[in-house]
Amino acid sequence: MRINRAPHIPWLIFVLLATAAATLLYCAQFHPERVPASVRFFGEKPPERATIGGTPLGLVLGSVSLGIFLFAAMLGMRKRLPAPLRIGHVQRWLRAHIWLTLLTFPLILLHSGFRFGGPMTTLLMALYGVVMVSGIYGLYLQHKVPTLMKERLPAEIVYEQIPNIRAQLCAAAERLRKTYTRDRAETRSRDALAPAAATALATASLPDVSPHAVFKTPTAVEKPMGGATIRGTPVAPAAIPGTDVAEPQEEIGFDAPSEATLAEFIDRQLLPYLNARRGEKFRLGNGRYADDTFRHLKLRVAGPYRARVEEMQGWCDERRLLDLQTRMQHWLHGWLLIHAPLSFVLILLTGWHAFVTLFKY
Amino acid sequence: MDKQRGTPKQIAKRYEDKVESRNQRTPYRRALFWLSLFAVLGSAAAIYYAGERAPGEFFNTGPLSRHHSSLENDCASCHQAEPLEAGRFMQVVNDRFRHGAPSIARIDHACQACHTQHAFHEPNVVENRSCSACHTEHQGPGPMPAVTNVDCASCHNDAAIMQASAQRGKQVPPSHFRLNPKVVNLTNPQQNVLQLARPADGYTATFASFSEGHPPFQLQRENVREADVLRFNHQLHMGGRGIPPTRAGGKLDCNYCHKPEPTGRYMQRVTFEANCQECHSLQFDVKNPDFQIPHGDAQLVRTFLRTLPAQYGELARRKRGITDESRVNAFTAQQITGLLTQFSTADQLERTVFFTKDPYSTAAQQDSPTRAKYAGCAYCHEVKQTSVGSFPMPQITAPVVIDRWLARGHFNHAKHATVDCRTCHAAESSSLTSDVLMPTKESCVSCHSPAGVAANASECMTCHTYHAPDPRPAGAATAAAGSFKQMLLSPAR
Repeated sequence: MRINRAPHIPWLIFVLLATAAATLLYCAQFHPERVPASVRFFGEKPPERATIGGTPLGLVLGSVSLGIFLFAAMLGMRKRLPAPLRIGHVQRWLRAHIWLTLLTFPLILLHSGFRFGGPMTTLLMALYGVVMVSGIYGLYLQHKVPTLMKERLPAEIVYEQIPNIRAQLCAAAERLRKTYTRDRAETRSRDALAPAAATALATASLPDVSPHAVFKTPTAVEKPMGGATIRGTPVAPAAIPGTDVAEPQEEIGFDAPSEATLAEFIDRQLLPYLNARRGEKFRLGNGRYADDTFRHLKLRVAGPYRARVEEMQGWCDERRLLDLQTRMQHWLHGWLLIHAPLSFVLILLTGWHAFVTLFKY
Repeated sequence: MDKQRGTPKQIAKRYEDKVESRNQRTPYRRALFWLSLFAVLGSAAAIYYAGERAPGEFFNTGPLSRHHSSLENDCASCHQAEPLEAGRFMQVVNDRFRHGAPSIARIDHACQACHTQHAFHEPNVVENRSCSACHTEHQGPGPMPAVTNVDCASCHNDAAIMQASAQRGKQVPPSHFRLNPKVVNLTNPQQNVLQLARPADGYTATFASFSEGHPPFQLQRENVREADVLRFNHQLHMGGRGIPPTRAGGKLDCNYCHKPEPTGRYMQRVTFEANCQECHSLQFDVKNPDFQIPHGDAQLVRTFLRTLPAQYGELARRKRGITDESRVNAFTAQQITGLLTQFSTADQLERTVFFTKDPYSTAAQQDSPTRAKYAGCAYCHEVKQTSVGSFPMPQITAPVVIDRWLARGHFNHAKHATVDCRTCHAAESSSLTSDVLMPTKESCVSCHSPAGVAANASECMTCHTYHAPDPRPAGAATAAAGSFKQMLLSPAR
């Protein structure tokens, strides 16, 4: 969520006013000499004691903070509630989560009297600091990473579909590899290039090698990315697992060395790369190197096979984009792996702190 | 949103055959779930462990005061687990949010295990507070921080509490209210304490501090007058004409009569022998400076006067060194004859001694080595006349000198040694015996206030003590000294 939007302005004003009010109450209670006589609501200054949090005002500040903690934790529950039980738009919840937790910063400081106290309260303060810093860092990433994704990812896909897309890419590559392993007769009768590809070969252009595609990956926009040129490269229908393979309508020329070269390339580089869990460790994961590789591969195969090479290059580009999106998604949400668990710890320990100080001492 | 990507619905349509993957648990989600679960369970385990086995230092907010330093490593001696019940939960929360401390907590029982005979406040207190509400520990190794005005004002500046306290006070028998023995020593028969009647509402005025709203002292509020019948004029003695210099040659001042006790806290009682006799001699016979009537007992004086021949004979033997009985008799006869020139009869002498205010006013001009100026008992005392047979029987009302006028607060003269007596006690302008020369509250506030020179001694605890007297049988405290009225009505000594 970006906070440079109009709906955040009332929250900003509220937080500033609440901070000012809390500070005024704190000064009126504990430093009456610093405020005008007209706002000395509490009369005389209370005794100098380390436990400001134990005074009525300190308890109110602490209780409000704990209440905000609990409310903030309900954001995750709100997302998981079934539709009839969802109260309020999730964006409103998120705005409240952000601004109210920011408000706890002055509240906690005033509650503690700007002291860390004993080991227990020091631990709480450290925990609170980590949670707040991780949250603010996450907020910063929520501002920055979407912009980066928009710039670097020509077509963002649904994050949860990435494994599905990667599986489809692998299946397509394996399917292609199989075409070079069958005997020649079978190959000539079944695994010939698509007519569109033949047309493309004839015209030396490959606008779309799979006109019968029923599934297209969303990488449709040409954008510079890591020195590589990403082209719209729909996956051939033969590559889609679980779908019927389109029957070839016309047989094209056959070149054994080219097919052997392609088979070796698929076995040694393409499939390991596409099957890998983390593609960036492979040479094809580097866009510049991939360009050189495929350019060299094109030179090693006969003309009719260059469309296949470009098709494979499209798969690799797609895989790199998927990896990039995965990394960015990890940046975008990875901070929650620290923020959320520690928030639960903070809430539990804060509740314990309240219980112990109220009922045991 | 980028037009190339389309609306969310359009994007979703691309994956409509794989929509089930939307709800699949990704590694990230699984990690988030397990981390959160681990955090919750780990926190719960840590809380359990800390509650059961963690060293107390983990919760320690600071070192104990030096008085409790022996308990530094024994947290359980004060802090013990307390079962939490629903009713008590609300009570504790209410107390905490209103006063910052619970009422009587379990920790208070731990305090009382050592601090025995440490009763709480007055019987009309609506709600007793926890020890820790005022006595704050874990503030450092020095002395425990002093109780401040705010602690007292949490009740005394709350009109509702004070009103409830006043109502409650009306239901408590007056005998349950006692002066604090830490403030006044009621068992000391040599110390007369002024005990004023408790006001109808008790001491429940609402105020914030001594300088802000503290009511005037009850002495001034009720315009209490000195009830003693011993006549004394401070104005006359401190600057009036006719007051001779002291034997040391100095001027009669406050310190001549009012001398501090060995502790310096209060003043010794003024006595005739120590402070008055030098000027107010009881030499009724101008020719015999060392022949004086006794002081302190009217009956003894009467006996003395009725046995004058024997007294003169004793004077001759002891003071004049006459051993021959014939010469003693002669001396006695001579003195009696001399007296008869002044008093025609023994009755007249007795009447003059007891009832005439200044029998020797004419003789005062005479130069006497003892500066004799016998003025008669009635000059200072209230001498009543009761008839016994045909002769009036004198009865001198015993003077009751009040030693402690402000019985509800501490005072230490030694700490005020740099202050001139007249700053607080308006003695120079007091000409009436009934004047009470105690300082007013305004006089104290001039120094004991945040703006005064004694700003650091302007707390409630500077004068008052919170804790009530230790419980003793009812009446034991008052029996020793008796009430002021009882003292005044006591028979002559």
